[in-house]
Amino acid sequence: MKRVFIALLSFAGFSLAHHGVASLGAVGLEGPGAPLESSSSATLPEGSWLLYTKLDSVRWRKYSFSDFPDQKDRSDFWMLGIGYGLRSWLSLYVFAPYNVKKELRDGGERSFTSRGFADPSIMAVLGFKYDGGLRLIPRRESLEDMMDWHFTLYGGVSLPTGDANRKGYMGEFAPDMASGFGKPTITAGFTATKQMVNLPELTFVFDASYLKFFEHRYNTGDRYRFGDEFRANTALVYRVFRSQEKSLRLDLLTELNYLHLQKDRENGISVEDSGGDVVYGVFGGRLYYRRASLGAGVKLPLWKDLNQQSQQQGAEGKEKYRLIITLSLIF
Amino acid sequence: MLWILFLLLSLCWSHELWIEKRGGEYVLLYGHLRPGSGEEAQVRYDPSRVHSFECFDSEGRRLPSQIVSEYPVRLRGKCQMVQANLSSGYWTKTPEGLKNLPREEVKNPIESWYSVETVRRIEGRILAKTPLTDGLEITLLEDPSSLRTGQKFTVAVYYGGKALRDVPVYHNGRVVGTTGDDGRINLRVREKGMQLIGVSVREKDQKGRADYTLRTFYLLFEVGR
Repeated sequence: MKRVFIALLSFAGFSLAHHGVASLGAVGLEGPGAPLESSSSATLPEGSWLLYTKLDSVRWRKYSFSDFPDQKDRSDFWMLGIGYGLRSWLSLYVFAPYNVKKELRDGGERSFTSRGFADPSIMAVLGFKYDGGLRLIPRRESLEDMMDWHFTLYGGVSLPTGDANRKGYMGEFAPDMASGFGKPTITAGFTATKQMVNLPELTFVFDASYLKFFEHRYNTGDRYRFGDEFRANTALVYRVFRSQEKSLRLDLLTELNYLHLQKDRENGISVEDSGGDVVYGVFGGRLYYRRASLGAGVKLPLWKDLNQQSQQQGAEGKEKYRLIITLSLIF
Repeated sequence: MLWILFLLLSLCWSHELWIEKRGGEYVLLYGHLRPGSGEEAQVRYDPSRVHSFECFDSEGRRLPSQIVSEYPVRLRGKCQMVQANLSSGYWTKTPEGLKNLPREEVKNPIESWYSVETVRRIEGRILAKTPLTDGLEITLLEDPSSLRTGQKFTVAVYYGGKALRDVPVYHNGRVVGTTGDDGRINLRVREKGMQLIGVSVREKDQKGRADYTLRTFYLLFEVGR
């Protein structure tokens, strides 16, 4: 007797930018695939909870210490999150980032590490699809329904509870080593996802988002505003293995992530060695087992046009690589 | 609050039941419509297991027909819809394998059921969009002649005349989801040819010779393009 198993569940994965942007992904054993960094258009099933963690571990490219006595060494951006499917078309999330940022100081002879919980954020995701017209995600979809174009609009705001006034190595003003921004940040985004009908192993994802920062006056009296960020991501996810009997699935994925960073502003003046444009490539995979999803990949800067390229050690685009690991559980 | 969001749907789809049209006859077959590796295409059944084989018009009215009660059982008639009912009897799962016997006739029974299967083949447009019987039933909400490869279509599942929700639906060899509150689910024509859609429900076995009665209904139609 042939036994047929299927898991129509969704798992979600989230993307974390350097400042802590969350986004969505989802998959079932036979549903659309989910990328690592881009946001897919899946929402959580109504009434479901999601536990989520992600590590974005960055190794910064280092240069001559005679030219740069102080250099960023590594950063580990952790993200802890919990999500809830309030409706099949509306998911809510709370994220708590925890950051570890290590600098090498004084020509590499000393080091300084800043660590702590950064600003938590709340996010909402509104899901809709095209099925003879635009409509909200229904409570139940078949595998065939999942192959329709799906979209989301998402938005969120962070709560400035992190320590924005944390000082640098010698007590200097160092907003990039702080664990908070001092002001709420606002995120807005759009995603589109399509699982191919004629090749259901393949899923295409597009994601665009904007992250808005506001100026904060620090205890030192300085005013600083991080540059706004715009992202446009695409991803291809290919299911290479699936065992319904073992509730196991493996996807391979690749992504192109475009990032535009505006210049930071310090005391109303643009910081010249900040901002620019970067295109990243992501190569990785995602393993699903029952209710859990484990994703891993490496993110590499493929192209960059930084505003002061020679001066922006430790900025986006100047990574050796980023190692990305995610783990999520739905229940 | 719904805590169970992970749906691990375990279904026992044994062999499939379908009807082929050969000339002026409808032939009732059992086995695997699209056999996989190691699977038999057709499994011989006892013609006496066929409890009914009937011919209907597009509104579900019975039409005169002639049954040939030898293997494979055939029906002759001009039908818009044909429907057959077959029971393969009692099945019991044991450590040694599956036996076509009731629970009390095997050693170390693990799980047992009485199997009742119905297949309905529709030839043209069926006018009724509501269930034609009080039994387990799948209703096609589209005109099958309008369907083409790649197109989605909707079916509704009823039992006792009421929409049946949360029931897994099988389509051409795989489960594609469960029905919604209105008993409906969207499917897609993956390839032209026969579209075999199935649902199963379990209920108490009235004779008490098995753990449950497994009722299965198959809806069958062909897509030519």
